[in-house]
Amino acid sequence: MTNRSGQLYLNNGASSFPKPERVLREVDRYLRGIPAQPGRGSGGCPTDDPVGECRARLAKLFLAGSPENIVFTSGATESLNLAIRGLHLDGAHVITTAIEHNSVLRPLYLLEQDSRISLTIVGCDQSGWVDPESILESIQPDTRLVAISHCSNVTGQVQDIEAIGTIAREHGILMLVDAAQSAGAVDINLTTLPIDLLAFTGHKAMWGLPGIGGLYIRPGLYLEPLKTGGSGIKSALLHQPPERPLLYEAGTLNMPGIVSLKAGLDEIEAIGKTAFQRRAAVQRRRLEDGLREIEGVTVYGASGPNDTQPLVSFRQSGLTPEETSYILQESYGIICRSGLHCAPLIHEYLGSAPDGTVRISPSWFTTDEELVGCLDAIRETALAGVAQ
Amino acid sequence: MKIVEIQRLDDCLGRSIIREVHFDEPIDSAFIKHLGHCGKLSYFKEFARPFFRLELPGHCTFKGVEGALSGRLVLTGDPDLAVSAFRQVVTRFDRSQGDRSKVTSGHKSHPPQ
Repeated sequence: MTNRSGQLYLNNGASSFPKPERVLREVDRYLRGIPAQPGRGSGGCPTDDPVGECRARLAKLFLAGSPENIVFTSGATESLNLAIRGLHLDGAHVITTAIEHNSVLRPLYLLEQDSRISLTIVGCDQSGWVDPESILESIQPDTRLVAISHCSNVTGQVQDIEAIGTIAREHGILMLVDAAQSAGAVDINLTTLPIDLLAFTGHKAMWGLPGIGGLYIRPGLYLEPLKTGGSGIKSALLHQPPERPLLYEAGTLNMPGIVSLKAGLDEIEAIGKTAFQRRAAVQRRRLEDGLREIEGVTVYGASGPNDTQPLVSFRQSGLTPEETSYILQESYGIICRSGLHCAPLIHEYLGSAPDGTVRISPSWFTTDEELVGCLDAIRETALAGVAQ
Repeated sequence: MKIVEIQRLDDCLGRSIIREVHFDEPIDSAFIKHLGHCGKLSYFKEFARPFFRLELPGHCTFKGVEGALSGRLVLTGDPDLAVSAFRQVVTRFDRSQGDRSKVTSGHKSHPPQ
């Protein structure tokens, strides 16, 4: 959607823009009212419980059972850190993959650097697809955790987390899924999927504000909290209350973020998940097909039947990704993203190292005309590559 | 034309070392013509906002659009030497001489007329 400055924002893979009017309205309403803090005494409307409502909404979206299986965090990064550090993996072997974002890789590399875990990085193919068989082949007697992204933030490739999770469960290994890109955009059924921990953020497909996210923790699974402190209730206790979600939610919650996330989820429900996903799939197909028709463009990632994410990576002959995105932004007012996308390992497998790719990620609000305009601009931009 | 700030850009922009160069006045056709004297210049008038790229081999690439108050410097050589080389390019610009400069682009781009 073009903003007031005439810029077209196609970087929704990083953070969604614009937010639906419902989100803006609800956040505005919250900020203008007396702050409601659940369990923190007076203030706010006594019938309002945005925290409980949002938690219930998320549990419903992911079919996660009790809402208390969902804990709020500042985003996927905090969720992943809570999961990885909270499991106490000392002495264990961990499997992760080349498609991962640094929010998975860096906490794991830190543990490996401190000689607390051994780590296997499983590769992917040229579309960013991780073969479940390669996970199976990497299992060792002391493997305790498989950590994998549901959807690559570089190619949009959706992984077969059911197959990988089944392998993990059959071997008594915990399964952590990074759903930062997929939550809200791709169906996730935690009732049937063999997933122990699911990390998500609220500011991408779910239209919340930056700074809100969460972690699903399977019932019965204990994590050491990352932080301890005020919980609003049970203040006489000198230790963190042991029950969920209080155990993991010390400190003041990000109420505007929670209100925005709830409103975003309401909007998705109002649109209808099927319509939402169908439009995203059509946008992806249009973009990918359009890009493949442009001379000198290499598209990264394949569109399988489950790859509904409107997110496509590409490069242009004769131009670095940084140069392509710079021209698109400065000459055409099209905002996209270039580089490694904080996923440094996948590019060796895609063939896009060391500079990475240009990533275009439209949203529900992006019109067909805007996508056509973007493709036209990329076609013109190719001239600069020819001149190199 | 003076450089008012050279800003470091720290982002997931691959492995390039990149600076944003801010000027005290907009980049105009006279300045772009001047760049043509200093290295290999490409100029794309047909883009929605005319785009240029100057290559200073061994040092850096400088690119931007006409009318902007800043451009992007991609450092390909030693960062200090590259920035210094680019500063000299800007310092040598004499607006009164700008229109008499010739652009040497050597490809199908369209230099400023």
